[in-house]
Amino acid sequence: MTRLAAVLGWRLAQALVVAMAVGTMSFFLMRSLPGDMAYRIAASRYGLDMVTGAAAAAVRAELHLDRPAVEALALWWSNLLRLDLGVSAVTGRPVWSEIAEQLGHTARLAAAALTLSVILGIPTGFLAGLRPRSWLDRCSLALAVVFRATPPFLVGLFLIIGLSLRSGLAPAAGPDDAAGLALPALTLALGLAASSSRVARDAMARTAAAPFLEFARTKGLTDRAAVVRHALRNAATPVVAYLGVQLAFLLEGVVVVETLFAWPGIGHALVHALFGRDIPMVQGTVLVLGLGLVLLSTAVDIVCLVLDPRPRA
Amino acid sequence: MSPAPRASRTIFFSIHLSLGLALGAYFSLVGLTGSLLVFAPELSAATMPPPLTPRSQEAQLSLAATVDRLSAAYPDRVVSRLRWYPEAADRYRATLTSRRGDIDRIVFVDRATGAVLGHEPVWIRWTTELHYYLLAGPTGHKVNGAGAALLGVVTLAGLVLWWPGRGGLRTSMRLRVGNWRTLVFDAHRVLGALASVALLAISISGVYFAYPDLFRRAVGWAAPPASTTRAGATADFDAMRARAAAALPGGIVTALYPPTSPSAPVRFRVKLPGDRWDFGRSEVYLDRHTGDLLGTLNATTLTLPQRAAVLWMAPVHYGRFGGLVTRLAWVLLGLVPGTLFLSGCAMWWNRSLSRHWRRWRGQRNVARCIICLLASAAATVGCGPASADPDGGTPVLRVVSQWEPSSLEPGATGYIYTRMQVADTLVSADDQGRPVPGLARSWTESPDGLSWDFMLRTGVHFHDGTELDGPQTARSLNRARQRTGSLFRVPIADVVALPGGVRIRLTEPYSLLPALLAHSSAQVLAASSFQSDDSIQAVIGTGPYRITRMTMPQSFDVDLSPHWTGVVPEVRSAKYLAVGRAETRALLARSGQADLVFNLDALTVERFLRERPDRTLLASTPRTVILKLNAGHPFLRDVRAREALSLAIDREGIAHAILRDRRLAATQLLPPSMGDWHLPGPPALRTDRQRAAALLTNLGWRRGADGALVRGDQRFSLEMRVPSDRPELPVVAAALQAQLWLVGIEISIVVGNSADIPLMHHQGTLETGLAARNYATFNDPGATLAQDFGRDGGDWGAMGWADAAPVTAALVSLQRGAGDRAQELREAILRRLQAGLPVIPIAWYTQGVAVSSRVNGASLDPLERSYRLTDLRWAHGTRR
Repeated sequence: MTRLAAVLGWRLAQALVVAMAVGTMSFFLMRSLPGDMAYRIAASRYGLDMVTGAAAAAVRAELHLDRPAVEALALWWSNLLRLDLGVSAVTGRPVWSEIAEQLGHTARLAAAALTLSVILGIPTGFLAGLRPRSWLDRCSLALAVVFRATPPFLVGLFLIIGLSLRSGLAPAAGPDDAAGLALPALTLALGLAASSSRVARDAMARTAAAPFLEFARTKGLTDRAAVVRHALRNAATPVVAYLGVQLAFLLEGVVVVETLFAWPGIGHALVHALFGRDIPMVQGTVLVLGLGLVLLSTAVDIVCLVLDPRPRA
Repeated sequence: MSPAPRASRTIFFSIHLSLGLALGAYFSLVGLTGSLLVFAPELSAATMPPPLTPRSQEAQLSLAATVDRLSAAYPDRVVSRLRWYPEAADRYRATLTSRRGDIDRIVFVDRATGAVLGHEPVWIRWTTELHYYLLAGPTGHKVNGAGAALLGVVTLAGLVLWWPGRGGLRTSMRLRVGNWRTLVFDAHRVLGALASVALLAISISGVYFAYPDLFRRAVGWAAPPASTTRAGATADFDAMRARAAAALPGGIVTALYPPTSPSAPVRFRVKLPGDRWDFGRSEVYLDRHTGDLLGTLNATTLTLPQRAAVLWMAPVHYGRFGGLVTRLAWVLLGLVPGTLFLSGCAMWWNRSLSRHWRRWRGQRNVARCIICLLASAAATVGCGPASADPDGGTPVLRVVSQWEPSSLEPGATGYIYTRMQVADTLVSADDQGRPVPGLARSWTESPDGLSWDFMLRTGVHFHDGTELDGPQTARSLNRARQRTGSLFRVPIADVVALPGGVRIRLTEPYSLLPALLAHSSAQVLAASSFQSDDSIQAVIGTGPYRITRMTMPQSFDVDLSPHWTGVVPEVRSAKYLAVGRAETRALLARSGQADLVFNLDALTVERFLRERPDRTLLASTPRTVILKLNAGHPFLRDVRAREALSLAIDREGIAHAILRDRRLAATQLLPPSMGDWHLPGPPALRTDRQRAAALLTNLGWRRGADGALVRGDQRFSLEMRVPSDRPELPVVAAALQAQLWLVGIEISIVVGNSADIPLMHHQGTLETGLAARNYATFNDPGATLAQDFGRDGGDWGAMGWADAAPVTAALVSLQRGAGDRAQELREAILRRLQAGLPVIPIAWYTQGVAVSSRVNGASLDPLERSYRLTDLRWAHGTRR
């Protein structure tokens, strides 16, 4: 319990630092980009053909873009204390509601991708780890190299051509159909499974060769009992910890995959907000993503704590 | 004959085991789908509704007309067979083959009217494609042929292993039921032995279907004769049918095979007495142009090898040689590979795996997990084909475009809702941008030009049921003029409601007002569209379609509004999907998962025009790639320098190499589609580098050591700002850079975003900028030109141009109402722009749209105001 409290306390402190850091850093990074914000926002709002000096001036006046940066940041901070992320400079809708809509889509995609990657990667890795240098080990290594080295954009295009264009098994794009989730999730999952299978393989290989497992057999446990009681738990800790790291890779892939498959998630929105210099939207999105990572890391810590009794001792 | 020796049994066992385990699941799948297809023709025919028209032999449509109607209804397919025997007397069974020649599709056609009665059920089509093509087209077909051969190998190896010798036949067919292991072993052995002959027959006929030429060559089967003539119209099919019947007396003409290539003959299938094929295997070949008899194939007079190799293949494969009993047996036969596979796996387990398993049973949970998880993964990923099947779902039109509905605000992405016919404007525009009545049935301008009365159409309702009236219209327009959009720049004093209309009062005359009211930012929306703080909460317009579901910023669904009082369109539901990536849009179009796909890239349009010209729409749009020049720059101040730049540019080369169409090379600012704003015959912009060099020499420029022009200590070097928003622009910029270097002008390209150009225009720091300008943003190009070539220039137009005054004056005159002089003023403006070159036109644009075979009647609005969904009709056979 003490250990759990320490984990939660540490992560809470991290969350505060993350909130302060990402909000402030993204603000200054966006402000330091070349070009005029008012023109970019006008272009995103009204379309490129409608961008004129007059439109930009109207945007500048409406959003008070002339005021000092520090003042704008202080306002954002004071709003954040009231849990108000402001209003999108482009769409005019509250940032919270924009994020809530898009996060739902991304969460669905991420959950499906992670589930698929766990299903595809972890068992393959464990099995390969139990029989190192077997054909399964070599094949899974080759596949892992291929899928990790191929950009998600290319994997996605191949999947569209193979599973949508040629065979019609799944729609090529679009968010409204449950089947529409299949291809973007699989695109992300293949890359994630490639890494996690190797981590699982190494963890299992190391555990299978550990003296404690041999000792467990020597004291009379069956192979099955030894693997289930001792090997799996020991091998699971690094795998679960790695799943936390996977989330960062997931966000990296989501940006590309959401655009390719016309999936209205948070990565897609972040790209648009960056192009449109929609600072409140960028700040809000990175804040939510940062806090989300902290939250998931906390969950991973807790799971590891349950799996591994040593830190509790 | 004694059993095989031990050594050879070992080899056969290895073959049987390894091939059986490796391909067992595949054999099971093909067998199972084969079972499902044994009665597919009867099931297909039974699901077809009867024709609606009364039948009589006289009323029957000609074969040629039927083929023509089918070709028109399915333009992306060719009619490869039209069969009337043994079908019901009121219909044809037509086989339509894709132009790639891979996938067949069966439709049933009313003989009297040519109307499509329906398709074979989706599950049959899907099962057929899986069974014959493994869902992979011709490649899958060939793979299936190889698979059939391997089935034969497995079966033969099994037979060798089973053969007990003459004395042991009875024992070898016995089932021992004492132990499940021995039962499985015996069941596998007995079932395999019983089914082996049929499986071998299926295997051989399966190879025949994939590689027919192998068999035909082996038995000396002559290829069908080719048509002897190469030109002319195809002769009358009905007359040819009579000739075919006469050529093989006593036979029934059962099917027509229209020619699919210029040299192919017209083939008729004939069923002669004694022929086991359900619709005969004898054939008559006729010249496609003259109808002359080219030859016949009498199936009853073939040699035995020919009959065996060709004629018996289909009856054997489909079980159509012994009546209903055989066909029922063939249904069961399809289940045999699966049963043998399962029992084989169990035998393998008993013999070998269980020992390994016991040794590694610690891993059992892992393996179990893997099996379960992989199964669920397969279930998760393979979410079924229904959503991708264009004919399997409800008739929802699917529109795909690049533009995201990221806002409900009319001034932001309102153009999407106008294009989808959700919201309307007071005034509409024809294809040349001229104002025509929209929600306003008429309008009048006061003599002093300061007041305009717009009278509304009656009986128009918003999607919330309220009637279109003056107050709601006035509210929408007052709101629009306070926001960025077309009305933002109009000198409007106020908008007030009139009985049955609205009055717009101006502070100065503005004759372009109707054109600007046609812009999507001036949409007329219901009062319930707005919240109390005047922000928009929904797009409740007067168009035929209302929004039923919104998934910002990606998609929305529309349905026919219950309050729509106009002509009821055939398309009642549609889905709009924004797809940012051009590759994805192209793939959606190719796969048929979208019905209208806009904003296709040039390469895709070129390919589609080649592959499916009748399903690709192309229209000139009023957008021009321009090189905006800072005419106040010391190097560009003299018009001769700007003319030299223009003469150095090879527009046709750019249009051909980058935009994939030479006709897009701009000869003047606006394309021919702009009617009044396109000059009929001024000197066109051209390429003449010698003349360009001479002009630059006259201005004092000389070639330096590295080929660049120098004048004193000045080097003719300019910066070109290029936005990356349109992917073709950086490529065009690179081409311009290379072309201008040929006359010694050095260009440095800076790729940024399109907002850079208006920003640098205002800062006065722009030297040159490349842009794609839409001159019909406000429908009438006059309004856009007035913005670009005003007294102080314009963000996208003139900059530092000393000779702007006459153009500006003419544009102001046009805005204030020039009456009969309007065309004269337009021509004067265009001639001065062509001569003064404050911007250099480079190329025009076209809009390429892919249209699926599900819809007919698609057309393009060159101003992109509407997708014209109400004009669309579902193609024959699309499920309503």
